[in-house]
Amino acid sequence: MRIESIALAWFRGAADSVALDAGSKSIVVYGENGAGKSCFVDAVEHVLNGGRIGHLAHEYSGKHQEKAIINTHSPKEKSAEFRIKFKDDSELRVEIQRNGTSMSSGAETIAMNTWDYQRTVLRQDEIADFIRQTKGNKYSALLPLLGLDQMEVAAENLRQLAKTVEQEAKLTEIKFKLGELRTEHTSVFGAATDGQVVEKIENLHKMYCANKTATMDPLARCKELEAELTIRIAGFSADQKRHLTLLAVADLDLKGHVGAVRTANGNLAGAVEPLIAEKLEVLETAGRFVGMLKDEKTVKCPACGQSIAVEAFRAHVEAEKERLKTIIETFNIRKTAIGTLCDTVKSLRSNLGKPDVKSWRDGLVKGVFADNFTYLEGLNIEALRISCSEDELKRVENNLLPLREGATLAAENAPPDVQQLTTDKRSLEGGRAFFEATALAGSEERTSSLVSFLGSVEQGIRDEIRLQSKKVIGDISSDIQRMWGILHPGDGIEDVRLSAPESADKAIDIGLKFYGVEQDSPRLTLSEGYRNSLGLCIFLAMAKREAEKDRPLFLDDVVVSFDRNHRGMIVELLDKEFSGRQVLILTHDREWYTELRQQLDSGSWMFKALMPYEKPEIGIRWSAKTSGFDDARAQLKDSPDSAGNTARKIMDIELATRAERLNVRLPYLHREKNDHRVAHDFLSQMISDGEKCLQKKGATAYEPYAEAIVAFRDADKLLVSWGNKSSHSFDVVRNEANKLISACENALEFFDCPNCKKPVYKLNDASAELVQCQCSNLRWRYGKT
Amino acid sequence: MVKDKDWVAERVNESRKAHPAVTDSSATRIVELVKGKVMDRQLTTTELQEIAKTLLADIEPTASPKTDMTDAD
Repeated sequence: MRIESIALAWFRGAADSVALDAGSKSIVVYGENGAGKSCFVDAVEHVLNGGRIGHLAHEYSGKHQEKAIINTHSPKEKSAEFRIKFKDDSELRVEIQRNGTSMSSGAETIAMNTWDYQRTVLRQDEIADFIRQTKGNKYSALLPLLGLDQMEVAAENLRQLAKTVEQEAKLTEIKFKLGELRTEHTSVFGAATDGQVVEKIENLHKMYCANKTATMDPLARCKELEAELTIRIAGFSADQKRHLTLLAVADLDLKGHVGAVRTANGNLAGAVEPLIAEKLEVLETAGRFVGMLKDEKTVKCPACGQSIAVEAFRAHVEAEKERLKTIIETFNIRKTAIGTLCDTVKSLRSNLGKPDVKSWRDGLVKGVFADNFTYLEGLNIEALRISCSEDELKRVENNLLPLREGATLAAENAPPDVQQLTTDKRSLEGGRAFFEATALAGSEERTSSLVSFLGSVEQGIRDEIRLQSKKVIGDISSDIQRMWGILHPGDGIEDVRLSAPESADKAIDIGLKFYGVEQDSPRLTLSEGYRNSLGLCIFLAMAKREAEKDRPLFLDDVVVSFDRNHRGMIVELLDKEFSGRQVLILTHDREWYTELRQQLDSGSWMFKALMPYEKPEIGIRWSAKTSGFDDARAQLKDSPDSAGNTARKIMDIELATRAERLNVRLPYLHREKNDHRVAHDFLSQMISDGEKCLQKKGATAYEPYAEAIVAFRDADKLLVSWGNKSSHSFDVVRNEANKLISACENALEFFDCPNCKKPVYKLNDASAELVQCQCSNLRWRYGKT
Repeated sequence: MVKDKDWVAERVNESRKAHPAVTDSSATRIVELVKGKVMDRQLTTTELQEIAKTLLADIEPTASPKTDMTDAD
């Protein structure tokens, strides 16, 4: 949808309403630096980026950038606003309150806020942004163009879902518990087969629960068996009970559990160190990232307090979670190992505190194990659970392992029936661990399979994304190459292309050949000017992909770093690739502006010049003329020399382009002088040729256009005298400079027809002997020279 | 350029061949999800948790554990 006009009031540099009327055509707007041309682009960006303007992002611009968006000198009763009118007569109106919040209305069918900024506006400072971006950001920028947003969303959702399933099912904990149960089962049954374990429990059940024959699940059977063993233990004598307890203590794998905690401590320490380094890097990255934010939907970062975009914040948190996954697992393993050790210590204290072993204990408390028992009784097991340092582990080893060994020694002479019952009890515990593990393994297997399944679906979608992106990237690369070829014909840089690296998902890179040598990045060899040129090609290639949407393109001062040779090719590029699109070019380059006015088709392009900016109360103003002499007039007051010099420079450029269109041939000058012609050279030749060639329609026939020649002479005379003085001796006064400007402006107006107002450039003769204005009132006959 | 949603459903069924433990109801539910909101927008944490719980409920076995024993007697 083409833009008819953009009207601003008290928005940025504008005062009372000023409108860029493009009339749905493409347009070139000239204005020197600070004239206010970018304010029109700012209005567009304000809509596209949800009320924020990227280049205004600053901690001092206010929460809603109100300190930069609203004219600093706007009257209190006035609110800032802008209106964007479209070809279908719909109009988007955006009113901005004093606090910077905005309300928009109208043009709903255009849905301008859905236009992608990166494919609508290209500014001078953004031209090489795409090249500088990371592979991932390049991918994100291209994603909407690839048409794969939905698939990317689906893949990402599936990835998140797989993680959530893992968390909801506590898969990590289940796996750890499973490991513990299998360890316990193996410690009792070794390499016995599942059948042998089942048989062992069956036999024990038969032996101890002979009167119970009902069909039961294995865990219920274990429970029944345990109850029967408890009854039997209750009937034991004091001596039997003492031996039973000592055997239970001897069974505690205290040494093994201390070792497990020690290993986990080591693993955790190893993981923490790199984590700290990574955290620092993350903070630095976050800092840089915040500086580049453009989105208005922001949140305060809990780490640094800065505002960052919600989407980016979400991605950042996800990345952090992923980064922490390994260390969280390590942390959990350590926590569980400490828990097991603490439970073992608790069991040791409980067993050694039983009345059954009082006589054995009393004998030791007064002997060599006095300190050990004191340690055991005073040990704060819950504190140990929270902090289990290496020092604490050593104290546990030094004090508690001797007690366990003492109990093991004392239990050696246990009666056979106690030993048997202890062995059977151990078998029962191992069997129960086996059955619990079996049940848990089913759950773990099902959950893992579900997680793997979700991962597989995600991967399938990602494979398809990669396949499809390659095709689209190939198409865009062809466009880039073609456009590059137009801008840089015959250069040694070729095969410029986008590519998706095989080694990474969601990544896009730029490659090229530099004088036949393959380069992985344009940053390795291209100069800044060439990078900017490539940035322009990439922007235009991406914008071209949306040709069917017929959205306008804004090029805001994008040729600053282009040399004249390459800058000149942009017209050809726009002509060949974007003849059907509305393009809005804003430039402070007067020379290029003049060239564009001469080269671009006036039927589909408009040209406007802004007056130099004077003050905020006056705001942005259009010049009545398109030639830019208002720049010179603005200098009259303070610097007449500069004014005269500017007028002369304008004439140098304007006359050079006119001479080319009129086929005016200048006498050859020796060497480089031939390439450095000035206004006087052109004008004197045009006076000489024009007496014969420039004609105006008379009553019955074409007649020499005498008034034009007089105007040319007047201008030439002043250029030679005051124009040169302005440039070289700097002693032109204001009135002289003013007269010079008026004479130059007047002379140029004679190249346009006084009737149809069109220039005399229309080739209207098959033999190419003349050019004329649109209504043929005015003509220039080549053949008459 | 966007792949139609039926393709994604086919992709889900294709993946299932390598995951026989995934139940019919789970696979059907994922197909429905992928054709629906999973493809339309980024899901919230709450939504993900709800879906995860449903999927986990789907895979709960209805039969007794395979290690069930019957008394030889």
